[in-house]
Amino acid sequence: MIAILTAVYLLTAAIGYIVIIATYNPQSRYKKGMLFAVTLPEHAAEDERVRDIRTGFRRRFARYQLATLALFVPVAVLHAWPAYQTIYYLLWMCGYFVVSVIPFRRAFRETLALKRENDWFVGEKRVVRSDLRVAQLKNKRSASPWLFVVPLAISAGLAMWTFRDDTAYLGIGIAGMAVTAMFLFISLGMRRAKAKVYSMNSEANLSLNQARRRAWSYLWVVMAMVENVHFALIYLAATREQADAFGAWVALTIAFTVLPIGLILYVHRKIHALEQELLEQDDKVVYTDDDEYWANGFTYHNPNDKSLMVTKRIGLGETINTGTMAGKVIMGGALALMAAVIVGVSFLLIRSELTSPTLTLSQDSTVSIDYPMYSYDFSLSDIEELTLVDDIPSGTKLNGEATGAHARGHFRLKGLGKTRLYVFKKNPPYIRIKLDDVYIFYNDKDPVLTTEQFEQLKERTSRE
Amino acid sequence: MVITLQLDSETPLYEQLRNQIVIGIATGRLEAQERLPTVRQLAGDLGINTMTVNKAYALLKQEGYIVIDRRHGAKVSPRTQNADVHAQQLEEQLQLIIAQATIRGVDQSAFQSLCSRIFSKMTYQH
Repeated sequence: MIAILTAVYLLTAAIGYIVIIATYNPQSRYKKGMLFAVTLPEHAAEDERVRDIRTGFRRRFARYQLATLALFVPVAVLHAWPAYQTIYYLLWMCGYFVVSVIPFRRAFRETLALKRENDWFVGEKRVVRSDLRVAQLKNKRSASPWLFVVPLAISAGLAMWTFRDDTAYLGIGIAGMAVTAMFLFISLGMRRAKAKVYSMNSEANLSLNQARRRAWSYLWVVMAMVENVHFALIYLAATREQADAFGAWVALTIAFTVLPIGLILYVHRKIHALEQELLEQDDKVVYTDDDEYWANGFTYHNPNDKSLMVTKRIGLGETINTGTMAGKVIMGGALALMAAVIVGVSFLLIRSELTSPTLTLSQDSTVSIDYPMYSYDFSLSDIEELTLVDDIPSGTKLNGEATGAHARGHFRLKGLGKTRLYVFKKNPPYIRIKLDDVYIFYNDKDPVLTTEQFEQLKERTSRE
Repeated sequence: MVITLQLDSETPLYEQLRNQIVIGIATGRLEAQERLPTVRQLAGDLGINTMTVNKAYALLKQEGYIVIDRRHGAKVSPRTQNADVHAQQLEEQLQLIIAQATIRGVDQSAFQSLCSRIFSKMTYQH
């Protein structure tokens, strides 16, 4: 369990590094008329001062990457304390995405200042363009949104399957539907997004916009299907209680991290190559200077533009126009949600780290186990079997907390089925209580206390 | 055909849009009977208000440059010949333009050669 958590954090951090480096490192090269997301004429890119900004950026970028990498080390060190490891990891991740772009933002500001100083403007400023044929036909060759019926059917089938087998896994089916809905939403947003005017030549605009929309729209449908298959496999792996499941989990996680990223990169590269090929032969390529709307070089704020989603200048995909009301709401909501998740998760983790379950036996013969969110009460007379054991069978977590040190919540154990665990692992003995439809395992950190409590319970049940 | 609207221009956006479509028709970049995007499509693609596009389309329809069909949306009008009706209107508009040209020192021959140069770009045929 601990190893999986650390592996997941290492893997996601590695992906974070790859994305950031692949996105920002190439910005120091003059490409598509831009340097550091600032449109510049070609001669300006060779200017002495611009060259200084470029070398400064490369040096600083490397230094920041190394510094953040050094700060990642505690994540690995903290692997014995999963709660603090998770909190530190979440904070590190947030910090990483903010800090690692500082050199880029600095280079962007410096380049923009130089550009204003020297009047290095390219193309027209403050104009909006639209190709009349493209405006009509841009989605003509795209995948129909109705194709989302297929992934939706898969997730509905999965939800029904889990519902019939075991309601505890219903969440997997619902997660499948939520992911499908998310991809549908992205796909619809892309359909509505503005078409790009590449050139004054209508043919080029039409074929590039249609090809781009076609590739991305099919990609979203395929991604929704891939994710639903992923959920189905997670369900299969979770319900088959096998000892060697670790390898399967790692393989599953890696495969379904690499596959979507690979697909996105493939589509991005294909479209990019097509654009270059077509525009190379085009003599009417259009440039517009909309630097002023790209604050930081990567966030778009344009109150003159009614569209919510625009194609990013750097990196791939679309971004949100915070100049619109809906854009403000989405951006603010996303930030608030992220903060709430981090604070909420940290709170829950710290609470479970600091509190332990307590078992109390009241005068009216009720046994109550108190633990945040997983408290449970039952009557002494409901106990069918009471034993002190030294082992807990292996199994899977349904809903609860499982770390290297403790297991609390709902589990499904081999040979026992539905079980509630309130235990410190590797601290035998454990009190095993069998009720009508569920098993309960409980122990105290101190084995002596566990034994005492067991004797107490046993005495009371025999008296009843 | 690509529409380019200047956000800082003194000419209102709807008028810029209307003017460019008229010039597009005359220069042949928009063919007779060619379909135009719907008001919503064009407004979405330009990132401007639908009312602005609506106003331009209404003006173009009123002046007979486009026809709006309930089922097929907007379309460039088929070729028509009503030069006589237009002549009077044209004279009024030209009077102002020629008056401005005269004040700024453009003489008749210069004006006429300018006119023929612009005329040569118009490929619209009846």
